[in-house]
Amino acid sequence: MIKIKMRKKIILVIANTLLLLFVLFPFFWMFKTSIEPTTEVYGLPLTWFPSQPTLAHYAETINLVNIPLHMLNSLFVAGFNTIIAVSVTSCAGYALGRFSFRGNRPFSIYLIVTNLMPGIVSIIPFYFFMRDIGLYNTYWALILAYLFWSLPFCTLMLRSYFKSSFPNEVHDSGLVDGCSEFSTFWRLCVPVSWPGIAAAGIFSFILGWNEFFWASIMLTNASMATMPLALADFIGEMGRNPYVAQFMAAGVLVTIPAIILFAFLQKYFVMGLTMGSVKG
Amino acid sequence: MATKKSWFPYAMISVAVIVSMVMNVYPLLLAIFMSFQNFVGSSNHFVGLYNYISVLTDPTFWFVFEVTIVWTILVVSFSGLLGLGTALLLNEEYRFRGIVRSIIIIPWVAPPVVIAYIWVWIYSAGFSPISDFLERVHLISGPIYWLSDLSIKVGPLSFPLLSLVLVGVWAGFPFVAVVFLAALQSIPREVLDAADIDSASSWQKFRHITLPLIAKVGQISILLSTIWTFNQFVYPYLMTKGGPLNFTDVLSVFIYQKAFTDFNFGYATAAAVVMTTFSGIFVALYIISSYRSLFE
Repeated sequence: MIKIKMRKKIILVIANTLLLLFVLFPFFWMFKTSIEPTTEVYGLPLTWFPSQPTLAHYAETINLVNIPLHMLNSLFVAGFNTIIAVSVTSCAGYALGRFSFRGNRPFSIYLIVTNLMPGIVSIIPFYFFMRDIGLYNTYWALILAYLFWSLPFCTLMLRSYFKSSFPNEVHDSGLVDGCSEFSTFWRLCVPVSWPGIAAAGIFSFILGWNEFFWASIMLTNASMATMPLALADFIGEMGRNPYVAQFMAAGVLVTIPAIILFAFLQKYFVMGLTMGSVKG
Repeated sequence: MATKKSWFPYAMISVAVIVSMVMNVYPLLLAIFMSFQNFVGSSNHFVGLYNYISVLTDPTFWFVFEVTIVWTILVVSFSGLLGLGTALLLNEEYRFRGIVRSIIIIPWVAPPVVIAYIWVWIYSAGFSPISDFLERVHLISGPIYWLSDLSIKVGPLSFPLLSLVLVGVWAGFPFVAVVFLAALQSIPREVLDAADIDSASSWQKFRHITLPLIAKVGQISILLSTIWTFNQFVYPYLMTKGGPLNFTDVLSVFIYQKAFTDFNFGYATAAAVVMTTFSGIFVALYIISSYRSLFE
């Protein structure tokens, strides 16, 4: 009996260690490169641990890439996207989850289909569309684009979530007590469902913060660039680039907010994410 | 479900519907419209099926298509297996599993731009820690060109593509793991305990109890993973731009370059429509599979 338990423990330890190594290694490498002197970055044989850690690259990178500016841009786009996305998708998710009306099923299917279409088929005409209506190179184009991405995912997620967090009985009793439909939503459902709403918000924020593809097409004005764009421009061609360490420093600075945000809220994130996929 | 006929639900979804129409329906129609035009640079005129013929007779297009299929199959299978294994691991009760579970999701929330370039650096010919490690244990003796070595290839399968697949798996398995873990945790304890009483082995329990119960969730998440991977753009584009010689070109990257580097919008939109039609098969499968769980 003890032997089996011991064996299981050993397997668990090994498996977990390998898993963590696999997941964290790139981050370790990024961090390590960002704090080692340039000579070691390009030195051979490779150093796995810097002998003289330095923060110089963090200072240098701010000279090369206007990090505060681009961080602010990203923050603006991500924040705005979150507010709009959460508002719109909560309403839509609530309607789809709570009421059976004629457009319910078709619209849900429509959302799924559009969520799963390749982005490339929409981005080309969208590019022309934005140019035609003069929104090209403005943040509106990006915010609309990100809504395009967050809308299907968040709406469907919240739809499932509201179904389980806000039972019919509560809804009906709210109406009986004289609430309007919207009050029922706003004052009864929302407070109870905030983990799911938070999950939608986190997802939208991270999407806006990390996104590269649409931003690269919609924005050509360098001073408006979000962090991913700025970083992509910065690096040009890797390998022959003398700024690897500085890029890694910038990378650390960009990844940390996403990780911190996620660390605080991951419980709700996972909860919101899986609420819909698994019938419990 | 409340069934009173009222305008309320319609009002609530109105914004979402309008945005969707603007962002999805209109661009898609426009894309189809553009695909029937010879749209190069800024001149365009109607040419019927010309673009579709060019696309479907272009050997490069078919090669890229094959590369995309290989890419999808490899990433989905490996991330699926790794995700399932991880979920099984995290399903066991041990002290640090909460922390581990949080940590493995990090690849999913880190900015792809940063991830792409970290991996490019890890894969660099001269400064790769992987090569370094392999050299130190005397498995190899020279630099490995992870992202450009075409000396070994089988059809669309090439070494650079495998390097990219590893990145795709690394970034994609957390999602699968989280979904499977939720499914595993919804299996009632009593069933597994009953199997223990009947002295079933771990493997028997897995094969006859666990697997059937998570099969549905597994199927749905595999389909979802397939669609997302097939549509993937960021990692192949940022890491290799489709090179060398189209061996890491996935459809999204190929179409993107046709549109924004060659400015051949007619060809690009036609190719995009073909791509969407193909992935539409999987989307239809997904909807069919998940129909019941979505609409009860």
